[in-house]
Parts: sequence; C-alpha cells; structure tokens
Amino acid sequence: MKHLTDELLNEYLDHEAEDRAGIEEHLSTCADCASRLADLEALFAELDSLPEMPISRPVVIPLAKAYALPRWLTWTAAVQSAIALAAIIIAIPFLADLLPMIDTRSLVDLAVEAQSQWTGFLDSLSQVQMPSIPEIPIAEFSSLMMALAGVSVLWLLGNGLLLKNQMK
Amino acid sequence: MDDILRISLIALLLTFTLAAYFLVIGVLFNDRVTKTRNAIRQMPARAFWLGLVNLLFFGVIAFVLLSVAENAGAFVKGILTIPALVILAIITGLLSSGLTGMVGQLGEKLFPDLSAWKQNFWAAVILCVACALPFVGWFLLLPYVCFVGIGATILGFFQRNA
Repeated sequence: MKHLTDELLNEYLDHEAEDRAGIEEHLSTCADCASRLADLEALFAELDSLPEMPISRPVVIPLAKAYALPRWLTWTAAVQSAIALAAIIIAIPFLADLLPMIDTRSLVDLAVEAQSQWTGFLDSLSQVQMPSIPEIPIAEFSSLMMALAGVSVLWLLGNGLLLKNQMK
Repeated sequence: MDDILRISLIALLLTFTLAAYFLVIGVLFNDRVTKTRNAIRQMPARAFWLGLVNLLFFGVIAFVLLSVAENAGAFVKGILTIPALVILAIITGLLSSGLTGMVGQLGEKLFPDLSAWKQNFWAAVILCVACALPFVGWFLLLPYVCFVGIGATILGFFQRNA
C-alpha cells in the first residue's frame, strides 16, 4: 500500500489538492497517513496560535536614504544647472557668430602630426651614437704593469682603511 | 623647436624608465637595498670615499682594457673585452643597488607621508631632474650620488644581518 507524501498532505490541508476525494478515501483506510495528517494539523494550529511579535529594528535597508545626496548639494546642483542652461541659451547667438572664425583642425591632421612627431623621435633615437673609446698611446708593457701595480696598491690601501672596522 | 621637443621627450621617457627601474630593483633585491640604505644613513662620508676609490679603480681598468682591445688583434681583443665587460657589469650592478638605496633614502626624507612605492617613484623622478641640471648636476651631483651609492652597496656587504 502506497502512503501519501508530505507534499500531498500539505496540499490537502491548504485545500489545493486536486484528487481530494481519493486522499480522503486513503486516509479513511490508512491509520499511518491519518496520524501524520493529525500531526501536521496540530503543528499548523500551534503556529497559528503564536502571538505577533513586533520587529525591534527595520529589516528593509532604507536605500533611498543611504544613497540620497545631501540637501545642499541637490539645491546647489539644481541652481548651477539652471544658471548653466541660461548661460548656454544666452551664449548660443554669440558662439554661432564666433565659431566660423576659429581655425579648427581636424582630428586627422592632429593624428598625422602626432605620428610624424613620433617617427621623428624614433629617428633621433636610432641616430644616437655611442661615444667611441679614445685610443691610449701605446705604452711599454712594463710601464703599464707598473702603473697598474701602483693603482692596485692605492686601491688596496683605500679599501683597507675604509673597511677596517667593517671587516672585524 | 623640434629638437627641444625631442630632447624633452627623451628626458621624460628616461626619467620615468629610471624611476620604474629603481622600483623594480627595490622590490627584487629588497635585502641588499635595505643594507645599502642603512649604510647611506649611518656613514655617508665613508660610503662616498669607498665608492670613489672603487669606481675610479675599476672604471680605469675597464677603460684601459677596452682601449687596448680596440687596437689588438681578434683573439686578444676577445680576451681583453670579456673581463672589461664583466667589470662594467659589476659596476652597473653596484650602481643599481646604490642608486635604489639613495632614492629610497631621499623618498623617506622628502615624502614621509606617502606610501613606500610613491616615495621611491617621486624621489627617483626628482633625482633624475636634479642630475639633469647642467654642469652642477652633471659633474657634481651625479658623481656624488654614484660614489655614495656604490660605496654604500659595498659597505652593505659587510653589514651583519639584523
């Protein structure tokens, strides 16, 4: 014997079940389903009997209040907009006379000029020449070695003095 | 007019490239740069003289090697050029760390309220612009900064870890 599901029992209690007569027939013969229905009825009755509790703080976030502009800004913005609109209306006739006198350049001209500047910059970069190393007059090997030895001694002395306390 | 514009553009590009370079070096070699900065802060005079001695010595050696290699045959040229290039690479490395430390030190003093990377960036820009000043910047400030940087990096090698 197939028992009624919880969904069917809930629909029966909510008076939304389609086969109401069939469910009632099953309940009259099935003590198990009748007992589950009685439990559900008792649960809903208890829920209905609970008192209404007032909410201590509002659940809905007052979005409009949170994102509202400050009052002074709204007023200022409105006044500024009105003044700007009036200024534009007043200026239109003057601008209509002045605009044809201005020698405007097209975007294409500007782009071409920028491109030529960039090409010139790259050309100048490619023409940069590294400084050539000057030739040292050919010295005798022995004198070169002596000079190197002297410089090395100076280097060792300098480093020794300057790093004396550091190397301990 | 075009030349001035090009030179300005190159200088601007170099300035920002150097600033970015110092930022990257500071991040990649943080410990080394920190020790360099400590050395700059604690003993700038010693760092200057140490940098002077070492930069002149190794610079002269590299210069002599390259000059001799110019007039030598192919085989000797190769033998002389390689150590010269190694010396130049070492100098460049020391200089990079030293200048990054110098830039960090400048940034800390100039812009104490900014974040670290902004301090370094703006200090690098200011240092580049200052070193671009004719004569004083080229022949006094730039060598001074290079000597102190290299010397401080060498001193940093002998610092104990904190």
